[in-house]
Amino acid sequence: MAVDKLVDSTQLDSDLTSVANAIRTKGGTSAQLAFPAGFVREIDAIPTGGTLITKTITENGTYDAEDDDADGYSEVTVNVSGGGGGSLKSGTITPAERTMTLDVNLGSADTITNAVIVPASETPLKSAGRTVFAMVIINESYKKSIVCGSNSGGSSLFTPVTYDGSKISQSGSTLTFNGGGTTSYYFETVLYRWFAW
Amino acid sequence: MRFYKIINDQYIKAVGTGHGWTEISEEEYESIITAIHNKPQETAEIRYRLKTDLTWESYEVEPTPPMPEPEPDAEEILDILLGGDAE
Repeated sequence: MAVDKLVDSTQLDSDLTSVANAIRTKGGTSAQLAFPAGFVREIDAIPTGGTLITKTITENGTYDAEDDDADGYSEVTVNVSGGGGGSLKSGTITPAERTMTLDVNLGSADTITNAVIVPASETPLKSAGRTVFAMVIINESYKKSIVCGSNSGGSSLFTPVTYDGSKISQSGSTLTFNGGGTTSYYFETVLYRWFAW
Repeated sequence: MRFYKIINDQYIKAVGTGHGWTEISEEEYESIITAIHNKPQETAEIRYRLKTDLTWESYEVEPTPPMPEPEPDAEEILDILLGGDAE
């Protein structure tokens, strides 16, 4: 052993006590720690910060690091494509006959998750039956549909009818609005504007 | 703007703007719209369909029984009882 420095034992004891207190605090113990074995033992017993991994997310959802056999993520890269919600499609259609269903062409087969169709006519809608005033399809995959309609003759609006199922369907680039249901509504021979995205 | 018409079995079912169907000129679109605005008055037994030559063809249909109107909600019942607007 080389002896080449003078040591202030009081200062050394104080410094070691400070280190021991920090170890005890972190380790949750009040036990006496002998230097150096006790210090080493307690430090080894302190859990590490866990395994952190990087992750790239390409789909919407809820992610748990435990599912990736890790304790957490050190870096997350999100690269979720826009899917059907990226572009707004629109158009008009004027049926020549009163009809319960209307087909519109999207121009592409992109999956549509939301749509709305409303009459753009300033002329009051008159009909022998109920009339579609607006149809809104909301939420992904048409989980909810709302149809606003009028009574026969169009003199008053009914309380909007909400469907848990879809009132429109998509086949390729064709989107079909369907006013039929428990309470059926018709599209009149007026200009309708539709939007889908 | 692109104009189109939907034809089914020699009858014009609809016209519109946007993608798909049979493309037509704006002039033809406007002439079809004008024809639709001048559609003869239909009755419960007589309906009309628009031929491709823009004339209306009548056809008979079985009268359909009127569909029941939705039951009024509590607020509408109260309006009726208080003399408010009823349908």
